[in-house]
Amino acid sequence: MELISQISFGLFNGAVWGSVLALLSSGLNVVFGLMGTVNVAHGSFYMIGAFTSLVVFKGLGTFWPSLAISPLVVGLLAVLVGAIIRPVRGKTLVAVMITFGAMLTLQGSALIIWGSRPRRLPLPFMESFSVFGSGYSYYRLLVAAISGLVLLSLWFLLRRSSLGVLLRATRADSQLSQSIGIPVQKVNLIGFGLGGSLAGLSGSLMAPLVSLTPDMGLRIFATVFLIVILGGLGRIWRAALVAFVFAATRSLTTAFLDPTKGLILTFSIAILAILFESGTGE
Amino acid sequence: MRWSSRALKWKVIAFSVLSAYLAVLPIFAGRFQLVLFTEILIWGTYALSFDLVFGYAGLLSFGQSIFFGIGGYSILYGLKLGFGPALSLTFVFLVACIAGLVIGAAIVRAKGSRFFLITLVGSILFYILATDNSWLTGGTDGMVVPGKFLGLERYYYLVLGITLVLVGLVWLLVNSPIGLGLKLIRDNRERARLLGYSVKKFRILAFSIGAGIAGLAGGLYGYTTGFVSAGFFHWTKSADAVVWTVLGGTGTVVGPFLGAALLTFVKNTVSALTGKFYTATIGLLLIATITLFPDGITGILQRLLEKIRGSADE
Repeated sequence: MELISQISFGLFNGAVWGSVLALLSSGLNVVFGLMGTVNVAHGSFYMIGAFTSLVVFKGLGTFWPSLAISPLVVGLLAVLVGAIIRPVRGKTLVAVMITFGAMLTLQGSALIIWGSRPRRLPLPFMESFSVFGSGYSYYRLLVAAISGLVLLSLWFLLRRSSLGVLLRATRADSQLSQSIGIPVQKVNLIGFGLGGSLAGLSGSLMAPLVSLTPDMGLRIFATVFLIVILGGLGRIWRAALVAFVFAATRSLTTAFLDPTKGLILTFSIAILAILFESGTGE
Repeated sequence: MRWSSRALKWKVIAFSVLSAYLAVLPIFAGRFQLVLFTEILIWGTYALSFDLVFGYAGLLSFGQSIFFGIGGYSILYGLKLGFGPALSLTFVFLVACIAGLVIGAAIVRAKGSRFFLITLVGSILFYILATDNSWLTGGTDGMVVPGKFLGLERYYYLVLGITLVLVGLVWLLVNSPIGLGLKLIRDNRERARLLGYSVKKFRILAFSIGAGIAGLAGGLYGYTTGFVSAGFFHWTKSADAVVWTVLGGTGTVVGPFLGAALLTFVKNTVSALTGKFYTATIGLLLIATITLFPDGITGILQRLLEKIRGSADE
């Protein structure tokens, strides 16, 4: 009974955590597909999203509006970073360094504003249900549901809307797109904003479940990047799938592995994965 | 050709004047300035290691802190094992070089931003490993380097001597056929390969020498401050190397020193910058330099010089 409880708990956690990771990795992939650049600041966007929730909670006394405000705030930040990168598009290393500068700036600003002491947000509602004897909060289920819905909407946006056509055309061949009159620059900025708001939403959703520190984004970035690499850079749906498998494996093994060792393992696999994947693009 | 030899002459004169100034500095400098200059020289050397790897070999390495840390612990254990300082520093350079050779051989096949990401994740990994294995590293509390305090001036001259030798060697290297090969690979990998250059071997070589220099900087820092901790491996140290080099001027020997000197000086005099404002400041500075002055301080200086020379010729 103990084992069944532990395993089902692990699978539940894996599904919730996996859906958030899928959301994060899709954001990273959208930007990579468009700009050909890995956005190193993606983890910091997640962190800013989480802290925006904290601010909203402190200011308004309720958590819920932040699910709309965080994506908006972070989306605008991402558009700003995208605008700075625009002139150096094509020079991958220079663009990477700029997103790295953005990461330092965002993380440093968070340190100035909120300090390095871990912050916590209370759960928006306390009700929980029982899974083989262990309590499981409804909020986690809600996180998975919202992430799933947003992922589905993203699929519709990219596959079925006219904006999706523009995004995919620009991504496939930006010069050709430009020559047939697609406002490539604008589409790129929209894509960057979209990627950022996905990270902002993820951060906001996770805010009541984790402790908030300025460097929370850097740690998660390595994980998300590992997932994106394993799924194939730029391949949104495969990465989402990998996110679930990864999270399920991770939460099933955390019971048997201490967190630091787990982190070391994740990072080592990430390095090997980047080294041996030979995907498309730079 | 005439212009370039004249430029070379100016460079040699400027370098000699600066070296002479640094050599007599302890006569009139106070304790604070002596410590500051020692620190600047070490950080400049450390940034130079990044510049060699990125500015000349085109590898955007975020892993210099790995070798800085390895250098720091090599001097600690070298001295603990009873080797003298000179032997220990040689040991530091060799250990870091070999570490660079092994890591470099494994990862130089990764291109562009992938190389950056491997080294980024790697530097975080090394930091976690260093804090996690405190029996070896002393964790974030650190360990005291054995040996008694020999006086600030001695440390200063030791660091200055090693720095000048390294600067000279790096300058010779980047202007040698090997350096030209590196620059060719950086600018056009395909052409270099078609001309028969082994891209991989050149890059491993540059990465390994860069690792050795970063290690030596870490060793000198540990030796002169008498203290080594897991913080030597912290990824912000890697960020420092990137920012100093970009600010000073990428792909120049003097640039990393200018960048390191400026930021270390500002950091030590503007007390607001030492604390929590530091990360945000260097982030903004990095973005601003890349977008507004991609050639850094040396680029600005060079343009100024050309302007002066142009008006003098008229």
